[in-house]
Amino acid sequence: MTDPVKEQLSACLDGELAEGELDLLLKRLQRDPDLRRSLGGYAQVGEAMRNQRPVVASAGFAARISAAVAAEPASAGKVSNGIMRMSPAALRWLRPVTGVAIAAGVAAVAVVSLQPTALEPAQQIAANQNVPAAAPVAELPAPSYTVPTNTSGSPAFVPAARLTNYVVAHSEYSSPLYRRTVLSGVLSDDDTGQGDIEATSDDDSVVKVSGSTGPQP
Amino acid sequence: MFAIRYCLLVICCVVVAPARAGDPEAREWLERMSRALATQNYEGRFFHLSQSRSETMRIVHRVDRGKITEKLVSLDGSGREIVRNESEVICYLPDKRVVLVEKRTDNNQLLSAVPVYNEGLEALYSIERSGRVVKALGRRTQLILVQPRDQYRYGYKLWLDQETAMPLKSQLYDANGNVIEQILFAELNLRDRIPADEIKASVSGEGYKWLRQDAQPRMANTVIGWNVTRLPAGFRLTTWRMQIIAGSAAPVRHLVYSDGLASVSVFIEPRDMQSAPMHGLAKMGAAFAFSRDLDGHQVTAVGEVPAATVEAIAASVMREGSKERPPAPLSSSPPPY
Repeated sequence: MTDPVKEQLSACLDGELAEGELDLLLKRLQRDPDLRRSLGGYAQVGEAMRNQRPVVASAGFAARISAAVAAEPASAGKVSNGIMRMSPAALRWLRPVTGVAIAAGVAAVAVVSLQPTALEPAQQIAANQNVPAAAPVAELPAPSYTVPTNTSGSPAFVPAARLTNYVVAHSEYSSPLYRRTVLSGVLSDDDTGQGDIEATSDDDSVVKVSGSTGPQP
Repeated sequence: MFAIRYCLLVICCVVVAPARAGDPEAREWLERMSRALATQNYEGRFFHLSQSRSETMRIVHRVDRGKITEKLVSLDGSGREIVRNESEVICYLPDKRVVLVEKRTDNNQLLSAVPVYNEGLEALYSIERSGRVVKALGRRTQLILVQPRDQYRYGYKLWLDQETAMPLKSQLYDANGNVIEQILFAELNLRDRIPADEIKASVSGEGYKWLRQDAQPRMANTVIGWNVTRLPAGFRLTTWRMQIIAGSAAPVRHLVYSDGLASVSVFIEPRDMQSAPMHGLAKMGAAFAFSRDLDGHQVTAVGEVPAATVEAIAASVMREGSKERPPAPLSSSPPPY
């Protein structure tokens, strides 16, 4: 990695990068596995300075993302009875491999209830608009991540996997009362009882995916 | 005709004006509550009740030289804990053998997060006192009603201790009056001082998977490059930053919108083209999230607001066009739809 890129990365994390440059850098990050690794390195410097046990970064993270994704296409989750399970490989893909931690939400929630009757987003907004009294909250079960089905057919686990991270990051900007509410939501056990799909599971298929570069897309 | 118009005008003045001016004393109670929450040392236990579940939580809240640290523990089943120490928010999830760490911002006081209960808020919420004395936790409380004026935000019912203004009971409800969740204290002890040790987690996290984002987030001073063009009434941009969030390969733009009471975060990150886009609504506790794919980016709005609000905000996120066109002033955003 060249020094200018390093500087850009550093400036970016400090929020001091011009918009045009930032876009270029982010595009580059998407293309360049070395650069992504460096980002992990940056994160680990902080770790080392605090003299805490680092998350060990293994090489080839980006390669393995590709491998995992290739091996397990987006529809890898098996839907049965409205419950979607994440495949081990998909979990592995979401596991932290570099110092940039990955998807704690995966651990928090690995099961997503699908709500087959849900409206499409656009319709739902329209519905709320026409009927201000509509109470979308009341219609949804509180304890689980409920992801209405949608036209794109995207894997519902993705929002669920990232939700914890986003919600915790958001909570710092909530008012004290709301923060208590939001963090209590994080603490509430999702009560899925699906121990077999925890992020810590370490079965063979996971090892297989992580141990090789696998087929490229 | 003139007479009729005049009459209407008078009626409008009589009906509307007092409603918007609100009850200054009710707002004063909320200010007292805010001060109490920001300055008191306390620990206690409360029930967190939602439609289908109840959970017992323990809270330890410590204020030392203006710095708030806090521990929240689930006493049921999962044993999950959240510690907000001086620099980090650490979520211990023993049931998953995972620890999630997010950095707190440099700006500890986070002015944007502390609500200001001024008259401006009355345009969005009606804030009233209940006349009668009600008891909660065996103590006399003042009941304060914060009612939303539209469906884009939630309301609160708060039972504030007469003596200390601490909330002993609170209910979150939607514009329809349905209670979404409650926090009900079973025990609350105000203490002069709380030792730092009591904020420490009771689980070590030894052997758990630690997920953390290490780059220190800073307040940013560059252009954002993105904008929410049609915000629900009253919401405006309060702050934004670039940050690293666990789960994201690249730094994420984090924009915070607030109506003065409720807040919504908008996260924007380049989409990983290898994976399918996130799309749709998700829910965690009282928080909703809505994701969409936009211009090669993943946009997610998250907040303690109704689903309609995160949907409306996520739907109107726009990338700013040419450099010549100034971004639309956020403070004068049109009302939704």
